[in-house]
Amino acid sequence: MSGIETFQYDNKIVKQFTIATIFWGFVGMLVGLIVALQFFWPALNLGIAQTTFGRLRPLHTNAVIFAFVGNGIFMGIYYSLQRLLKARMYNDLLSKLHFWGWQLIIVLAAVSFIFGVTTSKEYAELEWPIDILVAVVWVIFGINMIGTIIKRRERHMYVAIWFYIATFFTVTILHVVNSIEIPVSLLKSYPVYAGVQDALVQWWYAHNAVAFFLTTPYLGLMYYFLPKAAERPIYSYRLSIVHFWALIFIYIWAGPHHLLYTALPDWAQSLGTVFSIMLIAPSWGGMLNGLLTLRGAWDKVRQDPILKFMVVAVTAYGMATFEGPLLSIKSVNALAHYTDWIVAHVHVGALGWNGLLTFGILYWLVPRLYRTNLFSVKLANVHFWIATLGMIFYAIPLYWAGIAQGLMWKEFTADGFLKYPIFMETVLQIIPMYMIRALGGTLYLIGVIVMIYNLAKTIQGATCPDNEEAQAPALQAADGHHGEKAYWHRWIERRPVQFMLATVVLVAIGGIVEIVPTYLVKSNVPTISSVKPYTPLELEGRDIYIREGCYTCHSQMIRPFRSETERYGEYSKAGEFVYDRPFQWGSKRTGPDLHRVGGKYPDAWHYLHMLDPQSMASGSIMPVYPWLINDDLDISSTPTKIRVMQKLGVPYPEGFDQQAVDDLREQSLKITASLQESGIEVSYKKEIIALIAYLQRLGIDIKGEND
Amino acid sequence: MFSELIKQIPGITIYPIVVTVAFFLTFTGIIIWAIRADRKYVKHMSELPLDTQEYKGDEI
Repeated sequence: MSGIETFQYDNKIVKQFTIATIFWGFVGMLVGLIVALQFFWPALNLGIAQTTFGRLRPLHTNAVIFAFVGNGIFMGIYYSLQRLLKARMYNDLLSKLHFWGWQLIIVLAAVSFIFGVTTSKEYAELEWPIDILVAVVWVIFGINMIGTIIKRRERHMYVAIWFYIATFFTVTILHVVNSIEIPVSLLKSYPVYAGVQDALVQWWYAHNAVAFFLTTPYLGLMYYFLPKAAERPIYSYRLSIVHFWALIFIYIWAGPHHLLYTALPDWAQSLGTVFSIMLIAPSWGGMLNGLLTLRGAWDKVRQDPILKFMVVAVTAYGMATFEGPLLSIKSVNALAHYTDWIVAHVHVGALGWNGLLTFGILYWLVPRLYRTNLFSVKLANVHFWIATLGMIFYAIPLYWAGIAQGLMWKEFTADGFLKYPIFMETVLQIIPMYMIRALGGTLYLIGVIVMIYNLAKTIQGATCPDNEEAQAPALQAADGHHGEKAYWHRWIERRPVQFMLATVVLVAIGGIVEIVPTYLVKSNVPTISSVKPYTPLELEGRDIYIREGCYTCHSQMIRPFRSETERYGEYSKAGEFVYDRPFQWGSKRTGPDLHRVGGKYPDAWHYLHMLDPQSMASGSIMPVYPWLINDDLDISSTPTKIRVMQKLGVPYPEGFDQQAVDDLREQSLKITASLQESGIEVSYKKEIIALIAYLQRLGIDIKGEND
Repeated sequence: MFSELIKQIPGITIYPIVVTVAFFLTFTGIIIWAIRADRKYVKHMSELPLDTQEYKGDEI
């Protein structure tokens, strides 16, 4: 038997991540409230580029996912990992670099998004220099975490740690694969993937960001903090083994459920659906494990706000992981896709699972870090009720709005015409729902303010010691003999390296099986001979569309339903997107689909519409874009863009990059001439010309065949 | 761009079949072992977050 070793847990790093979690939670939710208000109060876009919805939306999503939940993950991992392994973090410098590096990423993200520096790939909007920084900081975190695991004093790895390991490796793979891009300049890049493949890689990434950033680390935190708060062990350790492995294997395949009824090949859509439905089992395994931990102790939940937060969080997790698979069924998805139902679903998970669990952990952790009592249990209870009420006011109006609008889009009159041919009509009907949703978000944010007050009063006059002393025996050498009931899973729990390898292999299978065939099998993306690359002017216009975040409100994917072909034109074919880097299929129709807007309206209509949407579409909630008319198009990187596209396989003629600027000017002059005929005087150098060129190109390549 | 590289992988169509079979075997195996696990060990592992027991070394 070895002697007892004395060491210290690093509490300073936990305190730092805790404060960051609270701060960014407030900021991220505030931005969320602002964008929610913009839905029925478009004047709140303020008429300047930096505050338009298209630029603020990624700010909100990234802030709540990576800044709020991200810091929450690290707060929880740094606290629980040390104590479960009975070891201090591997390296204090790595801890510091991790913390400050992560906060730097957040600040850079905020600045870059409001200035329109974005890849437009959801939850991966950061441009390439920051992507590299993310990779560096993430690896620093990994080395710190794995180093701690290797120098642990508790040989067996508790289930929470398996979740942390799976998170680390999977997020690494996801980030690297989805971020493979060729830079054009310091602030702009194009993905190596195009069209269908880009869509598949993007949604493989984004769904697994949900799985391995919003779910698995928080399941890990649940497995630690819920037993701690309830003072009883988790319900079933065996269940945690089964659901862990099932979850990490099955989750990866679910990505295509974001692409149902799109131009993605059918076999991939079916795989996504089937695996999404199978996912109910391991997800509910986690939920049941959490809830049943409290069997026989429900009276504790009545007294303790921390347990209330945790129970509702786990329940919301169960709700969202039932709703998600249901939404992955094609017939349900046919109604729900592009509507606010999806937004409601997201927020049940985000506000319920991530938000409430974070609050529960904060109320438990902060008094312990500061070695004091929570200032007010009553206020914590008040927060709980306000937060729950906020969630209800958020989700229910959006369920209503989503289903109502989805049905309106699909409805035909008895004569066979669209009942609501004007898209605006369907928007105006749900504005009251947007108002109630904003009320829900406001309540939720007020709850957070109550929490900030409570925690601030808690730490007033108290100190958080940087280090906390602990004692444990040193790790003994393992003996080969485990007695009669040698248990397979114990073997791998004691061998973190093999564990990590197994995790990586399982996680990689789904990605490889789904993505590789879209390259190999030609019939998955049939070539359409009339589809040609974008002209330089159209390419610049497309990059403006990306910069302004138009995809946050407009889709470019017409589904093969009669209600869509009647409204928008011929449904979208896979072969039309082969030169789209990045793809712009979109996920939401706050405004109409734009895939076949080319040629639908005259140039003058687009000019006036971008200047003031309400002038062309009364009641429009779209922001104004006057700077497109005032600002000159930046053509300094146009030749580089053509060269990069050529390198990526787009068939521009040899040497075309030298002619690109001239070609651009020629096309601009044509458009300004056409605008002049309608009485609009504008210089050919302005950004609006490029955007008009792009919009007029959308979807027309295949029209010639039908005429 | 990747098409040229990836097209050279031979026999790619067998992999999904292999994966499906491996998946079923693996999960059947995991479930069987989970059911047969040693009770004392399970108790020890589930109590790890709680500071309830003295460290018993690797006997369990």
